[in-house]
Amino acid sequence: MKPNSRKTKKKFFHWIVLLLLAFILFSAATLFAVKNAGKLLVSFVEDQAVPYVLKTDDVAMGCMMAESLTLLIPSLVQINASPYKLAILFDFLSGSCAEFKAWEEELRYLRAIHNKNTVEAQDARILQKRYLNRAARRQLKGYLNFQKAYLEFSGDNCPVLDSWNEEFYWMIGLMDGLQAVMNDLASGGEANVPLDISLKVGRGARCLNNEKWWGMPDAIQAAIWINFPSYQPDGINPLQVLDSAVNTGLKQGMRIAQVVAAKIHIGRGDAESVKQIIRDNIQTRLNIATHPDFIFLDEVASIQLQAISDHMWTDATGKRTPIGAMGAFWDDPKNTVDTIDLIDIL
Amino acid sequence: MYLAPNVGHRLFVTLLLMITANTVLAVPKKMCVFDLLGANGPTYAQAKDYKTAALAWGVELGLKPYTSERVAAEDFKAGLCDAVMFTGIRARQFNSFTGSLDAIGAMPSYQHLKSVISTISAAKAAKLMVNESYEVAGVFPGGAAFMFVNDRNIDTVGELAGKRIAILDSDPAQVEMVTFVGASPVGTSIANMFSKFNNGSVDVTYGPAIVYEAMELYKGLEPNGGVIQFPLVQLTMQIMIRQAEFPEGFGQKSREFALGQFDSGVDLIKRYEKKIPQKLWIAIPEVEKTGYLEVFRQSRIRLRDKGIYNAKMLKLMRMLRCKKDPQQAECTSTDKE
Repeated sequence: MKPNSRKTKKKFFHWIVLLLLAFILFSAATLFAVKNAGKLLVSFVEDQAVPYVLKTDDVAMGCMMAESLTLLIPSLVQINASPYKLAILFDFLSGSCAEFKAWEEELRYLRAIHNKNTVEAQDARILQKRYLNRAARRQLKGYLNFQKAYLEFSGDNCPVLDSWNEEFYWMIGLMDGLQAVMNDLASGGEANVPLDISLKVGRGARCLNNEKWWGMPDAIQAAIWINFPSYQPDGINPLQVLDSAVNTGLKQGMRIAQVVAAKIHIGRGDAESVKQIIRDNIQTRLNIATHPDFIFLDEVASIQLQAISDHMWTDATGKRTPIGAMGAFWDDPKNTVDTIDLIDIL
Repeated sequence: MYLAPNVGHRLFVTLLLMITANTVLAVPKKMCVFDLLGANGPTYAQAKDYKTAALAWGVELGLKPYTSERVAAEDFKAGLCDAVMFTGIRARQFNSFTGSLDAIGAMPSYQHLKSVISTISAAKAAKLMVNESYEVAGVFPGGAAFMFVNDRNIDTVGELAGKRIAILDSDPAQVEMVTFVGASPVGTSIANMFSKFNNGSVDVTYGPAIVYEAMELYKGLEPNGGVIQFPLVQLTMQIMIRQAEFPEGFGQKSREFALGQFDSGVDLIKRYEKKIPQKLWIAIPEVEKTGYLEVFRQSRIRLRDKGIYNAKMLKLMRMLRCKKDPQQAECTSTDKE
């Protein structure tokens, strides 16, 4: 063999080996990236995106984002991720989106009653129940994801929650369960939500620090004790616990416990307490700044209280809360204004 | 545009009719609604649908939620509400005829209950719905109440003797029945009769299937308990109105509406019954069923004689049971209801 052709063959062989090595390394890198992309993505959303969104105030946008992405979240399991905690939050938000639509139908129902239009009222009730059913299904999925994320959850024992994220998703999971039950009961039970969720949620709320979580754990427990009086501990007044929980949140610029309190008082038929909560909500905004890291959650609370105010206004007057009148009510005493009797001038 | 006078008049009337076709004149009335969960509960949700229907009959109902049935009944009696929605047991003080629908062991199936409600909702039965100033304006199924026992061996009447049974103090029928079988009555309220079962304070409690999950009765059923597959009572929710406060014919329309809701109500009830696992149901042997039925029958007769159950309703229910199964011993008994 001539020396030049031997050299060429040797070079060719070296190039083949290099290409093969490069291919193997590239494949290994791709496999590594695919296998860990899911984890990285979930980690990014949990640690960066969610805290970022919690600082914003566009709840409507958050609602649309949740409705757009909720279907995709579980697919991350296929790339080696555990998206169940994220799913808890997205299911809750997308369930809330359906609830917003249900509230609008409730207002349409009330307007129809006010205008004595029976057909319109019946149609509104049908659509309201459909939206509540949708909300219940989504929130039940959120609760089931909560059970997958926290395998130890039985409602009797507390797991170790060793980070802010862990506690946050625990709290949202409890709210998923509670809302799923309430929305299913209100819509005729078609979503088949297990009714024992309520008592489990009440026990699960004990696992969170009340002060840290803006009074929400105590508010949830008080709600359960009021609905299930036989489970309330001796010597406890759940309405006082509820008041105290609301104040705990207010001091920190977080008003979400007010929503739980308002819904409890609605259930009890105590309209005056509901009005006072709404008044307090508006009043405290003047002198207690919202916690800057959780503006989104506080805004959700505002929207929910506005929905309650709209309900009360529409029931009484046929129209929702007027612009600028949040915190005021149609039957508030009118402020007297000094006037002059014109008889001496005319 | 020129319109001939009669055409213009007709056009005006047509437009007016179109506008008002779906709107009605309605008098405002208040209805107290009992629901353990208040305005957030399923009964209140049902009342909202009833309110819509009532609008078409000329009444605009303002709903007020009550989590205490006793307070709802008292407020109704005191005139704070013109109508009330509560259990048949509570309705008994206003109309013993419909209030005896919940008679112990009287209605073995939902078909029996539907037949009775259909019968009493007909126009022919209207005068039976009225007692003094009160009128029953609707009867809805509340679900069969089953006995939950902490020992599966309690499947005969005799085995109830000596057992602690939760009873509602407000219902003399329950006190009577429990005493008759030789059991120990333990006074409870709706709020705590299930937690007492779960913590072992009573051996037997009862309720519709919905409580199995909602009150976590599976805890009290561990390790060896069960649910006796025999309807103790057919619970009902009833609407009572102050007759003079409502337009003529309201009550009849309302009763027919309630009857129309029967099937969907029972569908929901059966969904809750399916949630109880099959292994927990305790089937009563046929030979023991006769024993249960006779104990219940004798209890009903005693309660009728004490003026607690209404004789006409008991007779109606007996006639229905015998129509569906003429071979029953009670149909030829000398002391039949």
